[in-house]
Order: sequence, then structure tokens, then C-alpha cells
Amino acid sequence: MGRSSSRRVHWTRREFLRVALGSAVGGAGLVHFSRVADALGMREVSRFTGLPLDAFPTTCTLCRARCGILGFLHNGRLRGLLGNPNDPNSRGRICIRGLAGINIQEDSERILYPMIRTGRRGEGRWKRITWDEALVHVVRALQGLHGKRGELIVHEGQRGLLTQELLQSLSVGRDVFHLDGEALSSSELAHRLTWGAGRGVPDVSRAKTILNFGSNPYDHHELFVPFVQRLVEARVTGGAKLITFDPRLSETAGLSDEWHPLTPGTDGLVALAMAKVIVESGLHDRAFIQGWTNCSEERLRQHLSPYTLERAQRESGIDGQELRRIALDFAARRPSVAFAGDGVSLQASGTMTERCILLLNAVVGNIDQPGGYCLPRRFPLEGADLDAGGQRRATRLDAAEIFRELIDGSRKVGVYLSFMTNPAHALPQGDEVRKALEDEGRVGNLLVMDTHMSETAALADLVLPAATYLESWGLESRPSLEMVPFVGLRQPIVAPVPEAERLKGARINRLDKPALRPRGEALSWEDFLLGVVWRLGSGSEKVAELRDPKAYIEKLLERVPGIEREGGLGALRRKGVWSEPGTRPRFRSFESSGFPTASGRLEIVSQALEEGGAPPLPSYLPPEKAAAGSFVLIPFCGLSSEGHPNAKWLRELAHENRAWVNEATARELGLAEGDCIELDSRGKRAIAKVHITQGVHPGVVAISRGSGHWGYGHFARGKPFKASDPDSHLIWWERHGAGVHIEPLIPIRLDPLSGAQAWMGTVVKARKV
Amino acid sequence: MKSKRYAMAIDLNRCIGCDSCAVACKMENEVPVGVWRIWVNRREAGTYPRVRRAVLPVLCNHCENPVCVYVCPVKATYRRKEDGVVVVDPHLCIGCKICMVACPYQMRYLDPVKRVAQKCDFCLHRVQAGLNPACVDACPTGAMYFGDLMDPASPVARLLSERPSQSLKVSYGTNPQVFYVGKDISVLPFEKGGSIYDKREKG
Amino acid sequence: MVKAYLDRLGVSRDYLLWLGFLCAVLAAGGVVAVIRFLSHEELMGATNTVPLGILISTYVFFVVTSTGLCFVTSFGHVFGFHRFEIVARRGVFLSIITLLAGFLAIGVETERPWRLGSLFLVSPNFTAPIWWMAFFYTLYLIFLVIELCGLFLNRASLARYAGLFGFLTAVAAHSTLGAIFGLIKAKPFWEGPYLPIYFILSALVSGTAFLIIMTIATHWAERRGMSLDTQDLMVHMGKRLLAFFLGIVIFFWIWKVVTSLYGHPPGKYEGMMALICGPMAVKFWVFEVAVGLLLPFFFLLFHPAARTIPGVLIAALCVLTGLFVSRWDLVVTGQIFPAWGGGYASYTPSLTEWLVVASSFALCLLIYSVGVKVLPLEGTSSHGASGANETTEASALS
Repeated sequence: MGRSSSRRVHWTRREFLRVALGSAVGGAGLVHFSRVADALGMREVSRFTGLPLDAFPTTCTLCRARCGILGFLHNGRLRGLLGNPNDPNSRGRICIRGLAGINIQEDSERILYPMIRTGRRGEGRWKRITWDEALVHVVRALQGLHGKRGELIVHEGQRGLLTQELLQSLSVGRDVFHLDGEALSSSELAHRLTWGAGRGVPDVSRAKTILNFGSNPYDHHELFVPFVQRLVEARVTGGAKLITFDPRLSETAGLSDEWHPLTPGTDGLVALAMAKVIVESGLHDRAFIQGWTNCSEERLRQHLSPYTLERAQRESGIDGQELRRIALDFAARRPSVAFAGDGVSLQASGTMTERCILLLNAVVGNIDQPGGYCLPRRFPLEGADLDAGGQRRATRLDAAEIFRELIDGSRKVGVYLSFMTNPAHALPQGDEVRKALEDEGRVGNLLVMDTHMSETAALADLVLPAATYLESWGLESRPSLEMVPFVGLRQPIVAPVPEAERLKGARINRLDKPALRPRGEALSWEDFLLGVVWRLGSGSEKVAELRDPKAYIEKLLERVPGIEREGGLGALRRKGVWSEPGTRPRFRSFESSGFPTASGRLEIVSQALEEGGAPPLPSYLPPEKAAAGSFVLIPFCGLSSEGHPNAKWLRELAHENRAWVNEATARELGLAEGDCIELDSRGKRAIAKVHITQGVHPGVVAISRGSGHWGYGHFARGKPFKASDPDSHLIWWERHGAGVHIEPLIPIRLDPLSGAQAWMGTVVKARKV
Repeated sequence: MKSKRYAMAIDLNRCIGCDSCAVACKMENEVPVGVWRIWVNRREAGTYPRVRRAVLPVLCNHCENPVCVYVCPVKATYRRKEDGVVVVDPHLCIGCKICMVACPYQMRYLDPVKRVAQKCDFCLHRVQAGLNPACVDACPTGAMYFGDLMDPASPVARLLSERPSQSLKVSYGTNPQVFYVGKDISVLPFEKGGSIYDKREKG
Repeated sequence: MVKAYLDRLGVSRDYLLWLGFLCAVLAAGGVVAVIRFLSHEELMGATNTVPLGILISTYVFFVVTSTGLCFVTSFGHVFGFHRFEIVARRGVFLSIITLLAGFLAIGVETERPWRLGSLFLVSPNFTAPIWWMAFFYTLYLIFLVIELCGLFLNRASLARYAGLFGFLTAVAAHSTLGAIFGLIKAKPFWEGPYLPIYFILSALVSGTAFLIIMTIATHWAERRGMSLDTQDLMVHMGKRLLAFFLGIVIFFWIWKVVTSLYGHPPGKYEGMMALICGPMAVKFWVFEVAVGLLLPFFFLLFHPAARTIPGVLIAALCVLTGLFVSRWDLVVTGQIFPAWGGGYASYTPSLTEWLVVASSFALCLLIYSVGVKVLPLEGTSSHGASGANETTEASALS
């Protein structure tokens, strides 16, 4: 973020007048936006003048929570970000990663114009080209695919607004694979198989006993700020008790009422053992099981019988009597809810283990109850009816699966198009992924659209400047913690590039005149795809007609009943978020319409799984055991892996990733704090500094992912440099280093049920170096 | 006009140690990289498997008896009579750094760009406009309360009237105006031991 | 012709080389000081945990020495111990110079020293020990200059009264300097009434040692013999005064250590442990205690060579070295025990800081070297019979 004194601002006469005359006068666009400030009240003032700053509501996309935020402008510059008080989920609050979004927006190391490589892949020699030339290149690459099989891969790091429709257009005449970087495939599948809908929302604000399996909501969560707010509220004012099962003392575990470290991969066993205790004690919800699940009580009892407390104690390490106590608490001290996180869903048995935890909830009958595990309430915004033509749809897959085939050479890709993803660094077997991407024989065209020169962008044939979330459009409806669906708008605080409009031949509506200059020639993902589709001339007229994402949003809003009455898109643009006023949460939705499954019931018994050769009921699939002297590697997500890699304030707080080693283990290995440890996973090695702690299972080495960057920028790499931002030479953590890249240690290994990468459970050898 | 007494209270039962307050302050006050006005101390305590974590956000306490104000030779830092906020006037500061040494909480830093002593000023520009400091408004769980202690309706006054509170290092006699509720800070392990999760510093 | 001119001045080629060397060092320090103020780079070794570094300790070293020189020279024409009158002029002159060297060090340490003058006058804070110290040192400097003029002009009573007021303001300024540290409750290692008193005592040690060194060194450099009176005085200052003051300081240190450890007083205990067995231990035991206190103390008391000029010189050099490190120990140890626990902080002076330290010494020596040639430092201006120079050619015992 530059300082105003050190940035030269080039004033055109129009801009000068606009700013000089203040926000009330000037361009028509600002007349429109100044009403926004009134609607939200004064939320920020200038540090220099003390006068209120204009607030522009939009949505943050730095994590899946998609909190509503406000951007503040001062003298035409983005001054700050805070939460949008209209957002019923986040209720006006924002998290550390959201705040650091301002670092990315103003980052001097952003890619600002399209570049084509002039040397070999990864050599780092680039030539700047125009967007016209870039689009020609992309279109030519796609046209070259006509007729060949399985050739276009679109890898999105952040779900785009129009992607499904546009990919359908693109899939006319070619095979398209869509890799969704935000998917939680195992968890999604487990929920779909069980209750026919997506991941549930634990209604923690009304709960009294909360069991947390492998989730770390005090640090991050798919609904982070909204969820942790209510979790803390429940504990502080509602007397709720939080019990965490995690092999590592995560931020949540450290502040929970109880922490029970367990052997990695045994969460399912723990959940089933507790379910058994509840059923045997007669504390289960008989009415619910008989009336709303497809499993009889007898069958359930029989199924649970092998999951004894002794077995749970033996394999998980948690004392049997403790488990018994917790189970009885869970059943008696209601409302109670159990939920799972990455620690569970990223295991090789993730799908099955999530089903076990869903079973635990079902057994006490808290499904869709106040304080229980609830169905997600949201507006269905996927895919407006654009009639994209053609029956083919893009196939959704997990990135790891595709890359495994790329690595072993069994698949060749014609065009690999990446948007804000970084497989060369972030995927398991990252080193081999990089080699595959570098190989023109395996990946014919490598096209990357990103805000920064990530490790993957550095290998690309064509690099395209991506607009940030503050510069583009979107519409989100995230599961509501208030159990009342709402919709949130993402609108550019910074303008869409006039270039974009010209490329699509649209006329610029005076009312949409931007408040701020965009950075360089950055284009939003949607605008780029629209430009490609338009030039390809493929797909339906409706898609080709679509001039901008805003029109698409208006179409999507047809699925939000009631919003038109309240002012439609205009109202949404002023408030940022909308939900039907006066709506009250309605629990036990299954009583009116059943569960959205084939049987209409909660499917404890899954026919689909049975047909697929998997256990039909939620069962425990034991993990691979670590031999004596080996450790289970837990690559967790922490602040050094969350948020944007080049966000300077985040990197300042977390720049290196140390290997967490239990103190007793450390003594055995002869390690002291700060010593180095070599982790060996089937021949792949990495050396990390050690953090000796009491907060990790003795058989586990935990280290955070997403570190050890050599791309993105100087903040990510921890190297001081010269730029107009004075902070660039104040980087002080060079001697601590930028961490170690541990992703190569993790083999590509999929959950056989969902196809999702199993990040957890890798066995490594460790020794002092 | 009756003078105010601005104070802050932090509910340690609500704090999740996420550092949002630290980054919100950086954003609001354009604090350079390398120094912080507010941050979170973290410690681990116990032996496996009975281990807990403690978090403690710390910031300038805007003491009623501020030693930093007494030792400044040119009155560059002073306690405002109208609201009790201790501020630094960067135009008067000569950079002798004695205030940094005198603060028992180590809350003052030398601005690496402007080369004067700086610290938290309760976001005075926001407070004077009727808003809360940025850290208070950013905190995801609403763990921070701010207001005028002289006004019984203010959030901080209400909280402190309902719950017992403590301040840090009271034995130094500085009479700090930042209060902690919810946990007994005298038994939290912040005086000894170390952790890699503390505010990182160049030194 | 140049040689003749130089010979007439009594200046040799070696002398010019010496001046040139000092100018070079001073220039180097000046250059880094300018860069330090203009550049964005972090050139100083001080950090936010340890903001006061070697430049502060160098400043303390010099002003302590200056005060001590004032005390020692006051023995002569102020308090009537006539044998000290021989060193009065040199002593007062050195007193002024060391003060200026100290100002150079602290001028570069302060981030915005060009604001010092105006702000101290316009916006004084009467509760701030730094302000009072600056006030008293300004007065002290004025009195010193008057005193020196009085000595040069043989105006005995002017010298005497200026000396007296110089002495009093020196006591005030110096104990206030101690109070800068001693009033900071946040740094328990410093806090308490001890430091203001200790500084006065340490000044006596420092001043005595410095005066011994400069007197002997000047005579050696000029290849002149010392007068018998001077020789006697040197030995007396060494064997009696220096040893006596060292003894008091040792006594004080013993009790300082004991009271800091006994019963584990919080803060004081950790600070003292840092000093005696922590990161500062080597500096403390080797330099401050062994070289700076114990060796010279026992040497001066018992060794026969302590009656000789070289012996006294070596003892004084040891003392001064130990004192320089002692200031560093004092300033840094107080700060390295951080407010939030987590182990001792560390401080390493940067190259810039070392260069400024060197240039402070260079400034001091440069002005002295020029002053020795230009000013009448040899004479005494007492109201005694021996009003004239007494440079007998007694054999220089070197």
C-alpha cells in the first residue's frame, strides 16, 4: 500500500474536477454511490481531514465465507476495508485476511498487462502484448482442440460467476474438465449421500455441547467470521461447551473447553464409539431414527456393536471413560451438535468419516433443529437458464486426479487454463506437477490468469492480468447462520477496465462510471471468458449476447424472490446484502417436504455406496499405520498458508512454517528449538526448522502448507526490495526465511469415494539434520 | 464541557487470537512493516495431553499516570485533558527514544520512516467522529469494548460495571486504562517462556 | 620553509599525521551520520526492544568523564588542595572537550537532533530528567568555559567561583543523568536511587583515570619530562585517589549484586542474572570487573610498579577500558529483559554506530591535540608562589 506522498497521481482535468468538487457533485457515478454512504451510515473517516469517507459495499472472496465488506475511498484511493453491517452472517465484522486484501489491491507486484513468453517455459522472459493479441492467442489454442478428447482443463481457484454457462459453451466440440479449487469434495459427497443437500451449518449459537472434529474455526472456516462469532457467543453467554478432537493443538483446540488429541485418522471410530454409547444408554432420538432415517434402530445397534470404547481407546488414544462421558454429555446436554473440518474431510477416508459424524448428529436427533446440525439455507444461484446449447457439460474433478494422470503421462492436455490457482506450488507432489506443466508435450498450452506472478504463472505461455475481487462482479448466497437465506453482491469499487467493455462491444452506462481507476489492464475472469466465447462464436446466442456480468446478475436475481419488490439490483448495490425482511428461521424443514434424497429420508444406509462396493452405513476405515520411528504428517492450513501469499501484513505475522514436534519426540530425536529436521516421504525430502511443543501428538509432525514460495512477490519470498511503497525495504524477516515447500512430500492419493485428494495421513520419516 | 475518560476493555473469553485487530490498526493508521501498535501475545501452557493456549491482545494502555509523558523532554507526548488519550505529536518529537524505554508495556516504537516515536492513539480521528477505534470494529467476535468511562451507558462502562476486571503490570503504578475481563491475567503465562507466535520483531 | 614554520610551532610530521588520522576518522563518522539522517536504511543497531545502544553508552562515558575531570580539577583551585593545581588547566580543557565528544555521540543517536535547541527552549518538560540534564549541562559548559578563561588569564577568584558553580552544576547534571535511568520503573535493573549516586562515584574514577592518561600521554608524545610535582601528583592520583575510588565502586557493586539477587526481586533479579551469567557475562566479568576494577585496584594498592608512571598509566588505561564497557553493560542490560518475557533480547552495534563512537573519540583527541599546541595548558594559575611553568628536565621515567 503506497503512501499518498510517494505516489504520483496523474490528474486529468475531469478527475481533478471530480475530486475537487467533492463526492456530492462531479460524475454521475459518484452521485449514485454517495447514496451508498448514507444508507450504511458513517463507518470511516479520513485520518487527515476527519471527514467521512464514502463506503462501497461488496463481497470479499479471500475465503469461502464470502463476507460482506465495505471499501472506503479517499481522494480516489482505496483507503480501507471493514465489514458490512448489513451482512446478516458477518454482521459488520471482517477477519485478518479480509483486512489484508488491501495489500493485494495496491500491490506493486501485480501483473498489470498480458504477457507472452519469449523463452522456454519458466525461463522468465516475457513480452508485453495487448488484450486483442492475447485473446487471439487463446482462441487459436482452443480452436486447435476441436475434435480431440479431454483437452481443455479450466482450473478455478475462486468460483466464477458465469463459469458453468461459459464452460458449457466452450464444451461444444471438445471435452472440458472443470477443476474447482474451492470444492470440498469429500464433505460435499458425504452430505449429498446422507441428506441430499450440501454441507450443513452447525447452529452453534443455540447449542450447549459442541464437538469439533478436526476443524479449526478459531483460525479459519468456510464461514469463518460468521461462524466463530456465534461459537464464541454461545460459549460466553450461552454456557456452551466446546470439545475439540485434533492431533494438534490448533488455535481452536488451545482455547476449547477440552482438547483430546487422537491418533490421526481415527475420528470416525471415535464418533461411532460415541454413537454406540448413546444408543446403548437409550439416549438416542428414537422417533427421529425410526421416522426420518432409512435405518431401523435394530440395524443401527447391530452396526454399531463392534465400535467399542476399548477399541476406540486402543486405536485413537483417547481414554474410553472420557469418551463415554463426552458421549453422554452430547446426548443429554442439549442442544448439541458435532461438526467436522479439514482434518477429517482431507483424509483418505474423508467421505466415510464425515458420514460417521453425521450419524452422530442423527443419533441424537439434532438434524435441522435449533442448536443442531442444519441444512444449508441459501438461494440457489448456480446457473441461470441461459440455454447454453449442447448437452455436454463440463466435468467437475479434483485437481489432484487430473494431475496424477498428467504426471504419469497417461493424459495429455491441449489447453490448461488457470484462474487464481497455483498447482505448481500448492498441489501434492508439487515438484512433479511443476515438471508436468513445464512439459509442452503433456500440456500443450499453459494459460494463466492471476493477479501475481505465482509459481504457476511463471511457467505459463501466456499470463493474463486478473482483476481482484474489488474490481469485479459477483453474486453469492452463502449458507446463513441465521437460518434465513440472503444474497450478497460483489461489485467493483474499482472500475472495470474500459478495455473490457470495448472487447465485448458494450456501451458503458453512465451510471456505472467507476469511482476509481483500475490497476493496469486487469480484467475480470468473467469478462475474459465472455470475450473468448464471443470470439469463438460458439455456444448459444444468449451467452454471446451477454455483455457483462452485471446483466447476468440481474438474471440470477430472478431466483431471489422478493428482491425486485425491494428495489432489485439497485437496492442490492446500495446495501451490498439482501434478505427477505421479516423472515424467521424455520427449523425441521424435513417435516414439510422430507429430505431431498431418493428416499425422502436421511440416508444412513446409502444404496449408492453399496452399489459402489463401499460399506453402506457409516463405518470406520482404519488409516495407514505409521511404523515405529515414522510419523504421520499433518499439513495444516495456518496463517502462513491462508490469505494471499504476497499480502505484506500476513507475511509479517507468519512467514516461515516450522515443523511441530512433540517435546518427548524431540528429546528422542535430540532436537532443540530451532534445530532442523529432515522429513522424508518415500524419497522426497524437505528440511524444516523445528518448533518443539506440548501441543501435538507424539506420533505426528505437523507443518503448515503454502509456504516456501519462490514466486508471487518479495513479501512472499521475504526479500527486501525497492518500490514506491516504503514497506518494501522494511521487510525484516529475510533471516527467518520464507518457509519450506512441503507439498512435494505429499503423494497424490485420492479418497476412493469422492476422488478428493487425501492431504492427511502421509507417513514420513524424520531425523535431525 | 465535562471531560471524558476513554478506556478499552477486552473480553478474553471472546478473543480468539486471530490478529485482526493488529492488521486493522495497520490499515487504519498506515503503520509501517516491522512495528505494531496492537498485537496478540500467545502462549502454550501445560504438558501433553493437558495443554491449553492463552492469548492476550496488548496495546497502549493510555495510562492515567503515564511515565512516557513524564520523561519526554519536549512534551512531544502528552495526555489530553479532554479525554485522557495519550498521544504523540510527531512534530515535536526529537527521537531520543527515552519514552520507548520508559513504557513498561513496550508499546511505543520508532517509526522507521518518519523517525519519531509513535504508538496507538485510540484512532483519535475515528473516536472524535463518534466511531470506535479500528481494532474494536474489526474484531470478528466483538471482544473489544471502547468508550467513555464517565458515561455509564458506554459499552466499556457497562461491561466494567458488570464484570470484574484487571489491568496489566499494575505494580508499575501507571494506572492503565485498558482492562481485561473474563480470565485472570495474573495466572496467564505471559511473563516467562517463549513462543514463536509473539509479535515478530526485528530485534 | 614549511619545516621551519612547523618547527617554530613545535609541530612535527608525526603530529600532522596524527591530526590527519583523527580528521579522517572524524570525517568517516560525519559521513555515516549524514547518511543515517538522510537515508531510509536502518543503519543503527538499536531496535524497538533495545532502543538505546552504544551511542548512548558512549555519551554516558564521555559526560561521566567530563564530570569526573571537573571534580578532580576542582580539588585544586576550588577546594584548596594545591597539588592539583598543576593539572587544573589541562583537566578543565579536557572536561570541555569530552563533553563535546559526548554531545556528538548523542547528537547522532537522537533521530532529530536539529530540533533539540529550539524545542528544549520552547517546549520544556520540567518533569523530564533529560530536560534537566540538558539544562544543567549547558550551565556546566558555560561555567567550565569561564573557569578555563579564568585559569588562562590567571584570574584566580574567577576561576575559583566558576569552578565552584561548575562543580555544583556538574553534580546536579550528573546525578540527573543517573536519574534518567533510575526513575524508569519499567526497567527494574536501573530503577532506584542507586544510579544517580553511583554515577557521581564513577565520575571520580573516570575523571581521575582519564586525567592520568592524558597527562602522561601528552608528556610522552611531546617527549618532555614531567615535572616532579606532576609526577608526584600522577602517582598520588593513581595509588591513592584512583585506588580509593575504585574501592568505593567495588563496594557499591558488591551490594548492588547482592540486593539484586537476594530474594529474587522481580526484574532486578533477571537483569542482574543477565549481567553475571547471561548474555552480558563475558563483558561484565572480563572487562568491567577484572580489567576495569579488580586488576587495577589490587595493582595500585600492592604492586611496587604502581609507584611508577608507566604503572599508573597502565592501571588508568585498564580502568578506562573497563569503564567504557561498563557503560555499555549498564545501558544494554537494563533493556534486554523484555516486558513480555520470552528470553533476553539482544543488541549488536552496527558499523555506523561503531564509526560514530570512533569519531567521538577522534573529536576529543583532535581538539585536545590542537589545544595542546595552541593553549597554555602547562601552567598553573594558583595563588601560590609557583605561578610559573615548572618544566624541569627531570628524567622522564618512561
